[in-house]
Amino acid sequence: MPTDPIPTGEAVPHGVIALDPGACPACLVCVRECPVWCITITSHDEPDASGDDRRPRTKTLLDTFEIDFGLCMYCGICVDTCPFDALSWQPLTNYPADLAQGLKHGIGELDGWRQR
Amino acid sequence: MAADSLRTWRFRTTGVVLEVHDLPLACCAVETTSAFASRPDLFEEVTVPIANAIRVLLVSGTVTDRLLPAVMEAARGLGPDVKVVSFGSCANTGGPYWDSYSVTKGIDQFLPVARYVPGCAPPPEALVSALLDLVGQSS
Amino acid sequence: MTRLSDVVLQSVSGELGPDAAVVVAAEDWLAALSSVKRAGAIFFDFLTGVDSGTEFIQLVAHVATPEGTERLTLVTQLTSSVVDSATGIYPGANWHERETAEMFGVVFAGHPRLDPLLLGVDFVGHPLRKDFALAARATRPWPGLASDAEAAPLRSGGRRRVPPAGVPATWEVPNAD
Repeated sequence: MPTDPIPTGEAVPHGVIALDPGACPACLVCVRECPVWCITITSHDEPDASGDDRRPRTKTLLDTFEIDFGLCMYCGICVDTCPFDALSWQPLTNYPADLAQGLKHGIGELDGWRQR
Repeated sequence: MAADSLRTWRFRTTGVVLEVHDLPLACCAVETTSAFASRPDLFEEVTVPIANAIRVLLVSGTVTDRLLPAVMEAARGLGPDVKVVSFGSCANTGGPYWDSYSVTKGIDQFLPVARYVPGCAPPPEALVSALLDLVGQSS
Repeated sequence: MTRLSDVVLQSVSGELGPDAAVVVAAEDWLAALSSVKRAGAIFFDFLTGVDSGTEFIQLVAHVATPEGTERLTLVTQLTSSVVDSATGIYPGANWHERETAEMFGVVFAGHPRLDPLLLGVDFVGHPLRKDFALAARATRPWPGLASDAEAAPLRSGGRRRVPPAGVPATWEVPNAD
């Protein structure tokens, strides 16, 4: 069962949406703007030890990021609205699945597509 | 909708022949038609059933609740061994119409689906890839 | 040549609204349609409803002269869920009224056959009304709610939750407590 996307050249407007997890602070802007609610993010807060602020600060860390490409309408609003340029179009077509669940892709695959 | 009224294509790769019945319901049909037209090495339009072929029902586009009985009839007409390919977000889950009052939220609620092709719309290459996948070949 | 809007305003009481739409009282609906048809607007373009959140639906009809030189939009705010059918004046209103009936729940008295046009006979509700809850939205939690960060202030009532764009506040995920 091949799951790797196959490059289809540069002129693929509806490629895949890839994620740079290092750039994503889990701000949820993409999740909230998505018209079909196909993105889910989980995150947690950790104390931020950097700096010498008098009051304790926390930072939000990304735990999971999942796009359901069964629902996705490839509109690119998430890519356009991401304030951190963590999401990007890639000229690939993500490939068929034998289960509907197989169209959901998490950080591993989304990041892998970016690095191609 | 009688199955024999659908446009039918022979998809031939080494040793395996698929009889692809195209059920083009919405804009995805542009992509499937493009796939058929752009790969004459793989697709050939046929008008009579092919012996020993694997029958495929290609559901490409938006299935509404009102249209669902016709889709089911088309699937029944192709026999119990038909392989259903769900092409595009509408057929997969309802897609852009996921909250609509009139659109079926995924054809897989009513028919066993052999392959889901993601995309809105999926490019023609995605159909070729799904069919190759169905016959157990990598492209 | 008399403008269609003037014809209406001479025959029934009403006012010229935005975009040259004539707003008439519900009881003058058929009289207004009748007068514009007599004035030459024999082409019935469409009729539909508008749910502006008021108790009853607004009706909108668009008619034109066959040459397309004059067009007129007629608007009325219904004061009940029943209105007389315009099919006696414009037979072309038949399907439009059937659709408006199923989508908005308006009853067109005197319509020859007010069956659903697009929906199945077993469909419950009038889906284009604002109070029609979409089952998919009602049953699916909005993913835009942050797991910890926003849930805690919500329970204390200290901060407003962010509603999803275009989703009425009443469809939000209920609080856990």
